[in-house]
Amino acid sequence: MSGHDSKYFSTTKKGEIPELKEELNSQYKDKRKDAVKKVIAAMTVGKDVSSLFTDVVNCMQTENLELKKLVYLYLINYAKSQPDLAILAVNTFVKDSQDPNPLIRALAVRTMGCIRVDKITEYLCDPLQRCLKDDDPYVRKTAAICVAKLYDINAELVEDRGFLESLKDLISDNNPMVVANAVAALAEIQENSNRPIFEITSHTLSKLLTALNECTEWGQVFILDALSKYKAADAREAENIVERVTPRLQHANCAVVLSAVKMILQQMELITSTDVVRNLCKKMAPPLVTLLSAEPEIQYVALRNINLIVQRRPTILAHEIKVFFCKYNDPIYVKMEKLEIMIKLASDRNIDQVLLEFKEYATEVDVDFVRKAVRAIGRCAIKLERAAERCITVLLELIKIKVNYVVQEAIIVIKDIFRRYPNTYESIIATLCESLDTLDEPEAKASMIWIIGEYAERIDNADELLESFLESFPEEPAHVQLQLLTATVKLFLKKPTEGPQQMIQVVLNNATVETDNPDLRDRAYIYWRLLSTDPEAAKDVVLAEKPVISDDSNLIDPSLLDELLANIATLSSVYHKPPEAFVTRVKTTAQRTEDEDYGSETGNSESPAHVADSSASPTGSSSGVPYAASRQPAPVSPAPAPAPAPVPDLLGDLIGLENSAIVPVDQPASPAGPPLPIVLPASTGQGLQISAQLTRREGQIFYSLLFENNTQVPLDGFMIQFNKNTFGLAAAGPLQVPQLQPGTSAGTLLPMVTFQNMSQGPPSSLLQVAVKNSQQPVWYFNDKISLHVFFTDDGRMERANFLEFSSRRVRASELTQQFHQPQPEMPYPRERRSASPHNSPSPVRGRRLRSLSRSRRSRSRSHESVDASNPGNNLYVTGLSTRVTSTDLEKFFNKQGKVLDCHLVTDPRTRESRGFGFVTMETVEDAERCIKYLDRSVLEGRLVTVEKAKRKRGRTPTPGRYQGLRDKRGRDRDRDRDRDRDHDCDRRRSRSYSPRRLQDRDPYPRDRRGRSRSPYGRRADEHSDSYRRRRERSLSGGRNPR
Amino acid sequence: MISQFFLLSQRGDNIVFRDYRGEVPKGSAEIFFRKVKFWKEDGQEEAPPVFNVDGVNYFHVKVVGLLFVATTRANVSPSLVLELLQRIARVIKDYVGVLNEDSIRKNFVLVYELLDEVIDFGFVQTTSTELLKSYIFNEPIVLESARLSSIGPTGLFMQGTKRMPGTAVTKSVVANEPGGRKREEIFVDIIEKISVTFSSSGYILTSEIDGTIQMKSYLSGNPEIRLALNEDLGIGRGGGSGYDYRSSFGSGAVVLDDCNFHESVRLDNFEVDKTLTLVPPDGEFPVMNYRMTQEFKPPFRINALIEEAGAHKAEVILKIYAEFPSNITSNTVAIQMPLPKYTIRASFELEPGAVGQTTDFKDTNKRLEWGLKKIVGGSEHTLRARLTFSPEVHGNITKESGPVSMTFTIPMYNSSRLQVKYLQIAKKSGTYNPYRWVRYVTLANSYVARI
Repeated sequence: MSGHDSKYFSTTKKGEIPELKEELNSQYKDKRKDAVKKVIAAMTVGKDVSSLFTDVVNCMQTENLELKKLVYLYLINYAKSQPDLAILAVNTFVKDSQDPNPLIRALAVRTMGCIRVDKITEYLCDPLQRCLKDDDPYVRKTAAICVAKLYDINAELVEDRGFLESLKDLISDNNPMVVANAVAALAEIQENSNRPIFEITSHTLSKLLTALNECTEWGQVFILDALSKYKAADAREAENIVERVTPRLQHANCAVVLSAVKMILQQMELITSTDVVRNLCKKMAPPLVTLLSAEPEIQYVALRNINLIVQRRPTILAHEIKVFFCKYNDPIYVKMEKLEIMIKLASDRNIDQVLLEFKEYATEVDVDFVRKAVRAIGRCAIKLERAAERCITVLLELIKIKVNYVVQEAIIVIKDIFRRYPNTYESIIATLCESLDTLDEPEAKASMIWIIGEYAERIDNADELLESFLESFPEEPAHVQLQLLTATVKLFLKKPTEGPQQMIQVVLNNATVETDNPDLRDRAYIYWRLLSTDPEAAKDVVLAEKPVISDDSNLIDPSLLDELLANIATLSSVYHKPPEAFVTRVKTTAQRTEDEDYGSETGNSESPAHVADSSASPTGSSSGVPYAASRQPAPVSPAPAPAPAPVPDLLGDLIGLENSAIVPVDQPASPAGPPLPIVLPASTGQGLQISAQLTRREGQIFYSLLFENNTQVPLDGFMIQFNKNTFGLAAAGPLQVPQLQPGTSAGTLLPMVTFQNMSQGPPSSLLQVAVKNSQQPVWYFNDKISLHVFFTDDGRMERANFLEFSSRRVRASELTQQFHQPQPEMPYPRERRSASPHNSPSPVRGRRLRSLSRSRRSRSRSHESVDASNPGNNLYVTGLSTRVTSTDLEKFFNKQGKVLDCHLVTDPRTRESRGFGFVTMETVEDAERCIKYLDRSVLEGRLVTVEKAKRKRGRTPTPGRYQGLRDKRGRDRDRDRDRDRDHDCDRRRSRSYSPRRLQDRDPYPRDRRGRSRSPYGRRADEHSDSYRRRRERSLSGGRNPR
Repeated sequence: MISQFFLLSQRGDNIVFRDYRGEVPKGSAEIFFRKVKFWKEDGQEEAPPVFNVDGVNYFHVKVVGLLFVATTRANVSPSLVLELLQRIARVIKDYVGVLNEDSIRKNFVLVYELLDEVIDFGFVQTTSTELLKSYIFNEPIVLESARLSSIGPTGLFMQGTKRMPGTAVTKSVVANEPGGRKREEIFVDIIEKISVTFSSSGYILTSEIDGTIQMKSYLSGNPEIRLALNEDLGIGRGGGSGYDYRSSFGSGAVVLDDCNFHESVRLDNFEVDKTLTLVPPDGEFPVMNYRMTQEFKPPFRINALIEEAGAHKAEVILKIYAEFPSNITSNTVAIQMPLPKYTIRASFELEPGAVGQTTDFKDTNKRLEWGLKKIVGGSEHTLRARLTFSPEVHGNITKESGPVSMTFTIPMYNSSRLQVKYLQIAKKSGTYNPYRWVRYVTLANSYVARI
């Protein structure tokens, strides 16, 4: 062979495939081999060379092993897409499986097992049967694995043909490699089967323990892992097993060591003799420590496992704390784990040494590490009562260095120390107060406020200190507000003087009137009631003794710990989660494809749920809305919904609309009752008065309008237009208003559609409307969208549909993102926007319509609009080099047709390309040509993928840095948060007082609001805005400040 | 069982991609790379070697800048997978001679062939270069440039010692030298990484040696080899407490805390005369790994001082003493010291007549850097740095600077005093006398002095 393999990658000219075809059929062996190599090269970079299938398979019949292997590699890749042609190869396979050369026999069996085509599977059985009994161990070991492959394709066939028995026979094979593979195959088959297939008896046990000594390192891991499932009958047997396994602890392969440790730990549970146990612990320590000399990646795994082991058997490493001291060049993930273990191993004996280390770490450069080190000192203080004072001394020393984040972190842990040892270390409060001004992190602030409130009676100027925080009350995050509220109440109860009294009023007012955070409001109301009815009771409640907290470093629940310990040396021990929490074995192809389209969006049109849904809502499809309107492409797909627990009120919350969704229970719903609210008074409209309101009739949303002509001239030619709004409300047809004679009025019902022109801005119930007629200028007015119009009368049913509608892949954060975008500028000239009762109370209040769900018909329409959103001319392009600019992309696509729009998705902060984008072609044909010719082609040295887009454009940019796809943990966090919110809802529902709607009252006269310099005089909607922003940040930032 | 193996370049390009079970979606490499690249918002934090995204578990190790990645859905042994990834890297290196993107791209057919033999249906079969030889048919294409540069621990010997043949360590185990016949030679390297933490007063707080006896054999016919270590070598600290190693100090005996051996090593005589017997397989492999916390003489002592010198000024004095014999020279010494955040300038003063020394103040991360090309045993070097601080308030300068960390390489020196007394090759012929290279090297792992 000459030259480099890389030359096979070089040619990409047009006639490549025919050229290869010709070479594959060349009469020269070398040329054929070269050609196959070229094909493989093309295959590895993702080019489709399946059309060469027959030609490549023709090269299969060769004595040249190198060539044969290449052909087999090709076969594995393409057999699935060409099952009929793959059959052609079967004969060669069967022949090869009887070849005199054992390598060829093994190769044939190995490859056939990898071809997951049913028709081939049948032919596989006979060769496999033979190979399981082959003379050559290499063939037998390959056949053993092949049984597992076959079981994965067709379990029944394996059982029918008795392969399981043959496999079990191989456990007694004289070649340890064969034994190891048989064990591995059986273990996997067992895992995927509900029937007991592979059970270790004492007989197999002894055989496997013997094989263990002769196996390769990997085989040893297979055998040890299989044996760890064996339950010894008694202590003596356990001791025997341990004795046989102990030498494995000296192995150079970390996997062997950890698997041996697992096995020993398991058997130790049965051993009663304390001497033996102590001895074993002593033996296990050095190998475990040695794992920390391996590569950092292995160290990480070892540390996660050691973390579990020391929770059960702290003695093993009690004397080894020094090895867990961090090295300055350890990667951060190793350092963090070492800290955890240091806390766990800290004892009265070694605490001085440990504290010295922590102190040193607390002055290092890496902020996260420093923070964790400071926390570690606090946790040691909580864990070791006798060392608490020393820990506090260290913390105070650190505070004196005045590094901002160290100070804040120290204050947070000192709060915990105060909880643990109440009334012991108050003398240090003075030192803490010195750093008051530097606190800017919510958690530190909250902790400091808690300390001040808790010890208000001992701090002379507690009221001044709290007051300094109060100034910024409305801007603080929720949990700081909560702490401030409680601390002020404590202060008031402890020192009921004038100053605190004033403060409490300000706080309560702020917390009830000025906020839209239900938690804060609820708590404030409770305090208010308590204080006004029975101050003594308030004392009992607020100043009650708190339960003492304890050390949380051994947090893992004992039963979970048991399970995790049984899973030492598996992933479960690294994640500290039981296997079922993350093992999801996907078997069906259908699921797989669903996983594949990561760029997909909810509301994928073909979901069966949707089909059922639309057919179940005949009212929806038989509405009077012109069909054409609903077919217009919607610029934005419907709001994705999360998949939370089906608690009704959650939905409203998740969409971030709770304030407008809270509708008083006691107001009657009266769809047609009272007169429509005036949206454009005659004084503003030069005599034209418009009253309007959204209503819902027979499952359909209408905009009910009443025009009164108080002018001197007849008015006609009325037209209406809606600005972009959160719900995408738009007119479904033209406004039908007859000519209005002076002094007359006319009402009309304008059918509305939703999700037509959605705004990207923050969720708002504002509906901006423009009305014009032939005689007057354009009138602009604002109306409020009353949410209940989106609900049917039986809100419950709707809700179920809504949940069904929501795809399970979309999370709350995305949802809020959709609604929380910077408000676009109004297209209207501002000065002309007429004043309107922005907060006009809507007379039609739903019954208990707090949950948001869309009307049945609007939902079914929204499916159509999803489809409509991309008629096929919009393409999703991925795999782009970050160098590629939007212009480059457009140029690239211009080759195949006219590009209408080209949108490259970039990181909002760095402006760097994220490597994917959307291209809209003029016609569907162009788009299809692009997919045909540009998919898997090379742009700027990268292979790009082009496919039909599932959405029109990229998601609106995430505030903050793109963090890649969410991991599972992140999602769990969301779920937790959902659960929390869930509690909120429960609480809110059960409250006895009924606060009026916030928007409905304005405690401050309007003029005062305008010039007030007091922070309390801020407008309520400003608060809600900033609150919403924060909330948005906390949801999408992934970091939930607690 | 692993589902996929792939090899990504630093930029995230797919170099090798092999799917063994077809249960993980195709885009996994992209998902993985993005996840690793943007682990934390600021991109500062490193992703842990094991993580789970949407039910797929990703394992990765970084070897010479390349990402070796495996995915799985099952609850497998993570140490097995990570170890396997390291071994795959080693096997590929054994075959292609040098591990880098170019050599792998040039040998992709060979790499795929190797991967097929190493893993079957996600089960590890073998990672022994020796065993694999009988199943691998592709010939490696050795890069021309590879003969000059080398990577990995054995590459360390390239500098400073004339006795080392330049190309030996980058030879492929299967490829023949251009000259035709293979040269008979065997390398035994004793590589020790030492970690020492000095307290501010110069006492040793912790010290540790991680050592490896690495072997690479190019001997034909796989002869048996006997390797003799110190006769008084002891293993295990006799059950004493972890802190008390003074008892063994001074007696001259080398006592290892723990050690483990390659599977080819037979220890029949180890207890008696501390000899290891083995038939070395092809390729590079660790004969023995050991760990030692017994007190040893650190090769360097560091003395660091930072003092206030007037308003918004301070002086740093760094002194290092080379405490090894004068016939030994340490290479590429680098010393780093973080300075207080409010440092705005630093001016340096080296000792008179200093050669091959560099100094720098990195403003971005406020770090002092001092490089010395060579340090001869027994010598002493000093650096004075005058720091200027910004006029804003500042705290404790001692607390906010340091620790001083040091990296170095000392060829032909090992701190543990573990030695290979002799290396015997059992082969009948009397004229057979292959080259035997026994080399020592000491490297700094975490060598830190606190202030």
